[in-house]
Amino acid sequence: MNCEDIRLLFEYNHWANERILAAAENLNDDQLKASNDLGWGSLHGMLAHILDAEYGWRRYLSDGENAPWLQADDFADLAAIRQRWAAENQALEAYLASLSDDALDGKVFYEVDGQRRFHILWHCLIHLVNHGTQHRSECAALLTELGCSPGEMDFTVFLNQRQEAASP
Amino acid sequence: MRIDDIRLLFRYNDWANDKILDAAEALTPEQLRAPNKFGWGNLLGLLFHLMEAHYAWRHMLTKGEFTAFLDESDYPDVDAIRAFMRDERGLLGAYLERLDDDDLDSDLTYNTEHGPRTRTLWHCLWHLANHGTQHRSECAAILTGLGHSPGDLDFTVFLNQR
Repeated sequence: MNCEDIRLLFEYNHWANERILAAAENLNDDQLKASNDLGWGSLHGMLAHILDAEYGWRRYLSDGENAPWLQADDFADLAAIRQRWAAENQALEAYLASLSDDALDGKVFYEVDGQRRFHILWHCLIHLVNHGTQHRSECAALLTELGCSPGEMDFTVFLNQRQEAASP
Repeated sequence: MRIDDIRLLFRYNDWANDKILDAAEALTPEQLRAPNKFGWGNLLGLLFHLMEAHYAWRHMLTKGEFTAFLDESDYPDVDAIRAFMRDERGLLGAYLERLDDDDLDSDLTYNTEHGPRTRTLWHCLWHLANHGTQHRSECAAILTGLGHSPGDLDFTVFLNQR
């Protein structure tokens, strides 16, 4: 793994998050917070969970700290989630910019039931992107059901748009 | 990207697909075909879509072009999908064994309905793995709704079990 490729995957992650958030703008507060059977209570709760995973992992990877969880109740509405997410995007980008290729193969230690274990750093970063895809899929299903599909979120669609934006 | 990293991602992909297929074994034919809100008709349709995407991309990667679609009616149950996926996994695995790190950054060009498209090889492979996660999430939601959760499908869970 190398940093350039990791940064591309996080650029995709950011693009896909924005598609979900943009589609969610079309909902009213009741729809955003309506309970569903997909876990995390509501779309509001799911968005908070995706953001929390990015925040929690970024804090752990950059500072070694187990930050307190972000929860749905921490955010009054979608605007509050977006505001917090914008700050997190900057912090995550700065963290990724600080990494070297060699650092990606470094060990990240953690404890489970009193046992010291480790993950490889790039595995944690891939987990984070994959976790986003997993839960964005649920968000997309809810949004589509409410008539506000976020559209295709394939990596290839992101690449096509990126290529088009770069061409004169 | 390194070929060892890609091979690890596809071992994860296989592990996660097995968790979904194992959970789907517990369903009746009616449950497999019950309509849902996720598209692709029903769980069987979603599993078929996962399988077909794997087949189409593997075909393109190894032969340089996408292939004719499969006929969904040829795969009427989980056993048929599992058998096809087992063969697909072997074929993709053999292909990945032949690649090296440099190959992953090479360009490949293929035809689409919108004209020729050029992509970096590893981008195609990442797309395939990511596409699997996207649709397994839908499968997992359906299975969980029917009382047959496949369990946690996180990459970290795969790594811990390994």
